[in-house]
Parts: sequence; C-alpha cells; structure tokens
Amino acid sequence: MNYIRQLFYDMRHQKMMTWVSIGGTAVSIFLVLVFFMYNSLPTVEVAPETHRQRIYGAMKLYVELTGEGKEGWNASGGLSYDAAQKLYGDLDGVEAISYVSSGSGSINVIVDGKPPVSSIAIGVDGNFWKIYNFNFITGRPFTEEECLNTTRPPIVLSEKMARHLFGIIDVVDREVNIGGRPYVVVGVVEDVNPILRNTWADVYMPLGEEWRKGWDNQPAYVFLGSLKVLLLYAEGTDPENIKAQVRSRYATLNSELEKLGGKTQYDNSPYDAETMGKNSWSKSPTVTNIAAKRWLVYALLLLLPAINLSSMMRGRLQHRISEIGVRRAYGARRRDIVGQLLGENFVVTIVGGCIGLILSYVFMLFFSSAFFSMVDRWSSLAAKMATPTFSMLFSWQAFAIALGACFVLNVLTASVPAWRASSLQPALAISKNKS
Amino acid sequence: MEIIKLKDVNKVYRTKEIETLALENVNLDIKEGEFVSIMGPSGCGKSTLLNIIGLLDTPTSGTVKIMDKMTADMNDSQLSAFRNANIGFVFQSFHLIPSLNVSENVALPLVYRHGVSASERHKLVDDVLRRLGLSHRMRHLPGQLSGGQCQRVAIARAIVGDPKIVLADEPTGNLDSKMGQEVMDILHKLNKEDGRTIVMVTHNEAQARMTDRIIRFFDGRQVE
Repeated sequence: MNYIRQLFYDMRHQKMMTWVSIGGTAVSIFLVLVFFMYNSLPTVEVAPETHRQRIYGAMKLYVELTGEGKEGWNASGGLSYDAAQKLYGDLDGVEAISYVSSGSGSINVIVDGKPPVSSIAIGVDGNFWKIYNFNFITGRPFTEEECLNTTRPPIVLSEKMARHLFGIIDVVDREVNIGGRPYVVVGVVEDVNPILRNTWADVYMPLGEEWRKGWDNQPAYVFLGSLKVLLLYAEGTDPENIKAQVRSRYATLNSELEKLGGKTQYDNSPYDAETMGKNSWSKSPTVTNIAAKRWLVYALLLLLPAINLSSMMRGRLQHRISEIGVRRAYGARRRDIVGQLLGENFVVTIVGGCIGLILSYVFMLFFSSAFFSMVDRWSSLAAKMATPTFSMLFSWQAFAIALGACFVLNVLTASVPAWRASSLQPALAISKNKS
Repeated sequence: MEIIKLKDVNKVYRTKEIETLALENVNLDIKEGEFVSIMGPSGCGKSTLLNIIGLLDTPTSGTVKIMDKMTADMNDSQLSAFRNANIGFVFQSFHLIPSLNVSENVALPLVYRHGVSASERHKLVDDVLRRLGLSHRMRHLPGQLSGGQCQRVAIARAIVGDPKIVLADEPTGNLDSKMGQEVMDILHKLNKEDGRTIVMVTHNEAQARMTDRIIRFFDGRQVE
C-alpha cells in the first residue's frame, strides 16, 4: 500500500515524465492490440461463420507447363470444379464440402425495368448453406440441384439488397434479372458483416455450369478455374491428416497433368481461416510463416517503445536515488529495491495499458475501415467497407494479450534502470540528492 | 569489548584522471556503549569513515570488524541483514521519504526485517514515537514537520529496530541551537539509558566535548 502511495506521490511530482511514460505505454499497447485484433478477425466466430475454427479452404492451383517451347510458362488461379473435386472431394474427416466462386464481384441487378442496382455477388453451391449458419428472414436456401437449373435459377438476397430492390423483405418468388437472365428469389438472409469475407455479399447466386468450367487456353490449364473450396472438418479432425490425403491427391493430379504437358506442386492446402485471409494471388504457392512474422511484429511493437520508456524510467529514478540509498541503509536488499521499482512501474504500465486497450477498441470500432484499406492492399471491397462489431473484438485473449504486453513492457523498461539504481553503493546513493 | 574495530583502513576514490586518498591507514577501536565524536575539517574523510563503519561503503584495503564479524566476507544480502539488525543511521538532512508519513518512515527498518508482523511493527513504532514525543505527528508527512521534528523522526527510525550501534552524520548540522540541543539530549539518552554505541560526526566542538571521546581527522588521517 505504501508503495502505491509512493508511486502516486512520485507521479504527482514528475507529471511530465509520468504522462510521457503512460502515453508511450498506451501507444505501445494500442498498437499491439490493434495488430492482435486485426489478425484475429479472420478467425473470430460470428454468425453466419460460426465454425471458423473447423473451416478450411483451398483457393488456388498453380500449373507450370512442361512441353517443348513452353519453359517458364505458368499460371495460378482458382480451381475448376473437376480439379476441386479431384483434390478435395470425399476426404476422410471432412463433414461437408462447398464449392464457391473464388472471389466476389460487382453485378447489376434489375427489377421490373427499373435502373440497374450495383451489388456484390458470390456464387455458391447448395452445400454452402450447410457450412455456414445463415439466418433466413424469409424463404430458404437453394439446393445443389437447383444450382444447375438454367431456365429460372434460384437466388438469395441480403436483407439490405431486398429492401433496396423491392422496398420490402418478403420477396420470395419475386424475379430479378442479372445479365439478361431471370432469377427467382428463394430466400432473404440477415445482412452479413463485410468483415466476414467468405459469406458477405448482397446477392448469393447459384454456382451454375459457367462457374464450374476450367480454362481452355492451354490443355494443361484445364484444372484452373474460378472456384475455391471450403471444407468443414469433423470435430477432432487432425488437419495434418487431411493435408496428407490432399498431398497424395496432388500426386495423382500431377500424373494426369503430365499427359497434358503440365505439372503442379502441392501448396500445403487446405488452409485454416487465418491463412486463407492472408493468402493472395500474387504470391508463390508456398505458405509464408505467418506466426513467425507476427511474433516479430509484436516484439518490435514492444521493444521500440520500451527503449524510450526505459530512458524515461531512468530519468524518473534519478529523483529517487537517495531514497533508494536510505532503504538500502536500513536493510533493503537489491532484489527488494528492484521488486519495488518493478511493481511501481507495473502500475504505470497497467494505467497506460488500460488507456491503450480503450483506444484500440475505439479505433477498431470507428476507424477500422480506413485502417483496413491502408494495410490490406489485397483486400476486396469488403475489407474496405468492413467495420467490426464489439462482439467480434471482445475476447479474453485481447485482455490476456494486453496484460501480457504490459508485463513484458514493464520488465523491458524497468528491469535495467531498477537493477542499476539498486546496484549503487548505498553511501553514494544517499549523497546523490536529498529526499 | 570493542564493538567496532578498523585496521589499516584505506579508502581511495579513483577517476580516470585522479586518485583521491579519502582515508589513510585508519586504525580505530570503539568500545560497546561508547559515545564517540569524529571531528575534522570538511573533506577530511569523516563521512567516508562513518559510511565504512555503517557498511554503506567498502574500504579499498584494510579490515572492518563490527560486533566481531569480518564484514569483508559478507555478500550483499548478508550486509543488508546485518545493517538492518545492528546499525541505525541519522543523517544531517534527515533523509526521510517525503511520500511516507511519520509512522511509515519510522517503520522502514522493520519492513525489511523478516519475522516482524504488522501488529508488532505498529507497536514498536508507537512505542518509539511516544518515547520521542512524536505520537501526535504519526500521520503527518515530513513536509509538515519542523527540522527538529524531522530529526527526531529520523532518530526514531534509527532506533526502532533496536540496533546496538547508531551512526549520526552531523545530526544537528541543519538545526538551530535549541533544536540541536534537543537532538543531542536524545542521543545522550540513547547512549546512557539504552547503552547504545553512538558514533557521531560533528563540527560542533561543544557537542563533541560532551561525548566520551573525540577522534580528530585531517586529510584522511587520524590525528588524535
């Protein structure tokens, strides 16, 4: 208790240094938490993506041509339906598989001859609705059989789009026109937060034949297409076991590709939700070590402010050297002094940490769209429009990270100055200045 | 019986450019229960000697034996525990911790002593403050006290742990003559009534003459 009172006395008497220390800590914790929250968004489980920990995906295939005169030719893209089935269909340990368009796109939707309405659409198969828990406000999802209906295919709209197009949400059996083809609305779902990249759309179109085809510009590119695969693993499935199966499927696909004058290489798929969020078309098929990079960023975010805060701490201690000397004279051991100073600094760090925690939530809730557009160069329109909700950000892990970061920052900033201060000869310390 | 025994003690302060001899071949025996004054001009090594006796500093060479213990053999923790149990300090500028109240300042040595419960600590602090006439100031901060009261608090802190030795570095140096006399009376009482050994650095000849023995220093050497 005395230590806390001493700390507040010290803070009152060194206001400038105290506020800079608290501010520096707050900024550091703020950056750590924003980084943590940003990285945890791909795995946060919010409806309709309530099984994200069990949902894995494969987004692309890489094919290199091997024929004469084709050296150096290669292509990377989505998968054709055929390739997706060959590589990921009927795997042991997978509860459900869904084939969806590899990205979202902007389409024009026309209703009753009114001006077209631009909207974001994704193509999904019938199993998509089994993997994700959409809340149907009205109507129902479409089935796999309905997807292949070419005359009046079904469509599902978001609540917002239904209102925009019709002014109401009870629009089941109403017709819309997309690309000159009539579609019938079979259901309306609750709007999905744009942060949920696999499920956010205005319009959910059936994955018809045109989505399932492979490329036709080179025989070996026939396995490339415009699909990605989403896999819902059964509870307790070992992801490595699935990877082993896929690796062996790649070998089989390669023998087929060989006959067509091409080859591919296994890309460590399927990816977990987090890796899916990071992967981009521009990169080679090898998966970078995301975790290592993240720890490096955490270390830098803590270490750089820690260097400055450590100097501040040294400055603050200068005023207390004689007190430390007196304590040593009356029996305090070095570790008593270090313990006291670390404890005091921890309180300052916790105060700064709390401010940083609040700032990070405020930032993520109100300013994240601009942040996502800035840091996520490969993001779709969804990422730019994304605003996480409080429930997406609120987690005990965030608090644990904040507390852990405070502890690490405290040790980094205070241990060296505290040890140095405690190591002074008591006689010298007492004579430094007067209490 | 000697409670403090210094043999061939030298203390040299070295910087890159110069070496300063603060103490030169000091040999000193102080008996248990003695009240000794150390006198000499400023910079002659009096405070350095007191720091070495108080184990706040180490000699460059020579041996320091306190209560029959060779202090050179002790590590940091042992030195801390030894100081805590056996030595009390009174400084010229009091060195009270400004953020702690009188009671907390006095309790400081007991905080670092193992096996002293909070209730025991409170009782010991109450007793010593009552003895020094400071009971009514227990909750005051040092900034709310006069110089004489501050020094009485510092003396209370020095004796609350019942040390055998009290080292006082110019204890009246910052006080007017009336308050200075009050402090000297207390120190004499601690010596006569409690039998504590007191070593006091002073510039005041009159105060020194009232002690059992005067040791004079000049340029780091004991001259008398």
